Amino acid sequence: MLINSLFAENFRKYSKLEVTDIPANGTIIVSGKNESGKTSIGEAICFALFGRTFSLDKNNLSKLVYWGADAAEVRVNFTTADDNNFNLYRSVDEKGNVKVKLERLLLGGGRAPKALEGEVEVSKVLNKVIGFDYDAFANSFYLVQRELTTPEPQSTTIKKMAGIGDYAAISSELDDDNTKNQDKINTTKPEVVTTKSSLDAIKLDESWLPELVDADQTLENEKQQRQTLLTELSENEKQYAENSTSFFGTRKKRGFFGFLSFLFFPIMLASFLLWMVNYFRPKLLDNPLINIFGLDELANTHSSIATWVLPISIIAGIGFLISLIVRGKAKQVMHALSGEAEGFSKTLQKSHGVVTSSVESVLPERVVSLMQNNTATDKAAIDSTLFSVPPEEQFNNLDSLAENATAYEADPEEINAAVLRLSDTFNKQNTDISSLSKSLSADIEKEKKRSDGAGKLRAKLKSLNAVIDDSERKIAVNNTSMGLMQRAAEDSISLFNKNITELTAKSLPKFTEGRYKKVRVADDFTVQVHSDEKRGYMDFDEISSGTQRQIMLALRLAMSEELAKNTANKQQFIFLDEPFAFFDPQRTQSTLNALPNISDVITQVWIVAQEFPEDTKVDKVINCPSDSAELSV
Amino acid sequence: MSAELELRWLKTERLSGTAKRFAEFCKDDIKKQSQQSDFDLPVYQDAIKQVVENLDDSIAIGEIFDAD
Repeated sequence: MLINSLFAENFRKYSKLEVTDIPANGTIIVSGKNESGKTSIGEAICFALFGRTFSLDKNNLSKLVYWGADAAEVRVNFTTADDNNFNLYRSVDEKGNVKVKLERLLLGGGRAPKALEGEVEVSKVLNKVIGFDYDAFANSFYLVQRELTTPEPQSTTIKKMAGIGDYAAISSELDDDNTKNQDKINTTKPEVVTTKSSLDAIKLDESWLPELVDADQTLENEKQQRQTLLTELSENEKQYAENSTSFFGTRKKRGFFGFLSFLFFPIMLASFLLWMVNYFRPKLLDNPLINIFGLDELANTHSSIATWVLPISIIAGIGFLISLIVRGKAKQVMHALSGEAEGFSKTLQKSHGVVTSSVESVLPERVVSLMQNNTATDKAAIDSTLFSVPPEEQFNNLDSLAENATAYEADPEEINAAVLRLSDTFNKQNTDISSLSKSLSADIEKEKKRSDGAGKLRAKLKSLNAVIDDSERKIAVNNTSMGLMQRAAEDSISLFNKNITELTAKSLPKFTEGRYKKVRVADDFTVQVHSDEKRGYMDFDEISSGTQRQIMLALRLAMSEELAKNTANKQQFIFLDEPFAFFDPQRTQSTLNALPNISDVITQVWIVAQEFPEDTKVDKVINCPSDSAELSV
Repeated sequence: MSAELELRWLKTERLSGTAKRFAEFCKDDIKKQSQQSDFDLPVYQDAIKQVVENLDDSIAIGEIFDAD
């Protein structure tokens, strides 16, 4: 995060403050005599960002208002790591009421459509945008000389700097989640046991219901088969009587026309031959050998033959053809009638087979056993249909009737009597089957209810087990997460210590003019410094207070760089208020020269001091006037 | 090392700050953890996702400041 400009009105000692064109890389010095408003510049930045200053918390903000004014207002323009540019406005009135607004400036100019307002909303987004809160800021990027002490290793800020600040909070949440999940498991397990017991108590046989349903369907099929045979028998029996008359009439007709055709054919042939002879070889008729009948007169009258014999031949031919056609038609009719008779015969044979078979043979053994033991089942139905068959003698003539019926040789009266017996028996059997079906349906319903009950219990058991599995997995994931964070934290702390040791070692020689080059930072942030002179590490309290401050400045700068890296700030400003209070002029000079170059991340360095050496290289100078309430640089 | 153990789905370049460092750590850590007999890769992956989601506080700045 880099500050681009700072504006304030009626803030602290300033009625108007304007600091613009602040370099992203470089040193900005803030100088001035006592009470000239040097610290107010840092306070203005801090107030804008976090709604408080180093010395004034949120309850005392009205003290920031310029003497005699109604309200103080600060505006900071800053750039974040991802090159987003923001204007942050914050004001406080003399009653301590705070207003804050955060707006995003667009790349091509102008402002984003929506600005955030209100302390809660702005604070939430700002924390994410810049990556750190007030505590982290006050311990790193806003260093006041008097606070340059050894950091507290377990502090939130140090954890944040080391990049493990969020681990503790996440672990705590996961731990709570584990407790909830374990509670859920503990509550669910007894339910699983109860549900299992209830399920076991049902003793459901999975194959029983399908067997019952199949048996019911079988009974329905049996009933349907008998019903179909009944219908066929009734229709065919009437048809048989009609067909029988028709069959015999047609047979007579066929015989008669067969005789006619037998008669017409020789007449047709003889008369035609005679006409042919008379026409082509008339003399043959004059031959006495041929004219054996002495038909002198007839033979000599060929013309008479020509006149009469041909029509006779034609008429006989037509008669012959008609006889053939009628005979053929009669044959067809008889064939059709025979087909129907055969169908009827088969129906009779089938009926014979069905009427004399017991239902028991087509039902599963367990179902038969159930019916035998079921008191609700109609005993009469069982006796007559399930286990018994009608006496064979009632239907012993059916086979011969069926055989004779194929040629309409069975007596329709006998047929009628047999059909009546079959129909009566089928009707009775169907009544019995209906009774069995009814009883079976009741058993099916009962079994379905048991099955449904078991199904619900199974579903409940599945759902309960799913809850347990889910909770156990969540606990496993949470434990793995916590283990990961534990190892990552140890790794980060180790890396953090290594990095700050290296970074401190990089800056310390510059701050101490090469007198001290290396430090050793323990996990508890106990610092030792290496003395070439003594050829060993010295404890922190063995060295002078001035050097202690230089070491602390180096250490804090290193930690600030780590914080910037861990909060994804590629470039970061730092505000050092009176850092050289305990430095001698040489070390002040060397530190000033070193500060802009000690880090690739901490690139914008604000330094507050009463005065700076004349040859100090700076990129912007802010001289605070002691005789004016306005400053514009 | 199998592709699964490389955690290719874990795009460290899309993360920043602590989330990025954690993700990078996981890519190393899995090599050691996968040697354990009780190592459960799906659980380990879910654990990483869970922590990264918690750590990754990157926000879509554009969306926040867009009009409703």
